[in-house]
Amino acid sequence: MKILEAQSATLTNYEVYTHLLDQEERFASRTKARGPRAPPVEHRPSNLKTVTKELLNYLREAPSPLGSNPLPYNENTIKKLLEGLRPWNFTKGEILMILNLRPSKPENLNTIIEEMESRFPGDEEQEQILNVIGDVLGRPDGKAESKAMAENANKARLQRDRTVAIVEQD
Amino acid sequence: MFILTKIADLVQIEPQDFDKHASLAIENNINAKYANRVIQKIGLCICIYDLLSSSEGLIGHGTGLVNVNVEFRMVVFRPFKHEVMLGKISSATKDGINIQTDFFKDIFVPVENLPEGAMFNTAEQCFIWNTGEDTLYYDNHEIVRFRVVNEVWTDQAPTKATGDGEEIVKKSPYGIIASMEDSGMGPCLWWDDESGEDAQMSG
Repeated sequence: MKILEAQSATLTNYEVYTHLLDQEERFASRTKARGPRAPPVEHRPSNLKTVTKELLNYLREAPSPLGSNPLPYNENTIKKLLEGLRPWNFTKGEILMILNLRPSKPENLNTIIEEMESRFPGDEEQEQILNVIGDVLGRPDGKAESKAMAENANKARLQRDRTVAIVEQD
Repeated sequence: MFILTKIADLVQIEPQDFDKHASLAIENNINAKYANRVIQKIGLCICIYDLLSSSEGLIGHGTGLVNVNVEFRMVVFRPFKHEVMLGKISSATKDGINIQTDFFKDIFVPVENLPEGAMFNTAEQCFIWNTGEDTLYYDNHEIVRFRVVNEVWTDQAPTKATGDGEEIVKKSPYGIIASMEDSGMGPCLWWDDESGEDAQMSG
């Protein structure tokens, strides 16, 4: 093994997501073929199966934008977002995070943009940025998302209460 | 979060794979070797992205394996410094909070990277943040937002046996040190919930 280029490009979550789905689809179409001339049953490496499944789960989980239904992203999304955000000077990393996390509130934008207060002062400008992001990437369904997250958290809380009870019993 | 890495390698195709399409056999071979594995200072390999080039297949002496030199690009998980990511709290100790994603489990937030006023609660085995007016819980399984601040690489290459039967503690090859200090970080429910703050108060 020889590394020719440690980092030849960066990918957004959306690009990885479509690549994985594509790969799954190709595999499915290959295994679907039946008949005397069909290729032999194909076995995929189990490590690939594991990582594909886990990564798809991660990318689809709320509040990831890839989890919303219907999928708000398509092949033109990245280009459109770059055009929309041109008036402001965002770095490549910031654009990448905007695409991956889809901030919908100033608080969320603040975590992504470095020194936001000095670079983009004023609520109006921040609102404009968020509007562009919302127009291109779609707006999160806040209710469904927090419901999904709250369900998760409640499950976790139940589990914790149970462990505490067990510890107390002992 | 993800990058493409260009790699050159020698692929050996076994005779039973000869009836497959060559590119498919090569791809499967590469995935079997790299998928879900860490390369030091590169990151966690996910799967092959595309095959760039391949040489003629050559058969060596003694085996029926076809040797092909290939160049390909790999999808690799390697978040950059200061990147904001989502993950789930898996557990907490008094030293800090462990976070995991479905596919990567070695993310750690040391206690000094938590907001001021965060304290470990021994009874609940989780961190609690006293903001002054509210008590907020860093519950297990809660989805959190965090910032990558550092990475830890541990080469797992075999070392010489020590001889005295000492167990060598196996460390994970690639770990991420993260921070949840800034506002907007921590459980997403705290910041995203529009209906108010009743959800996290019930704990």
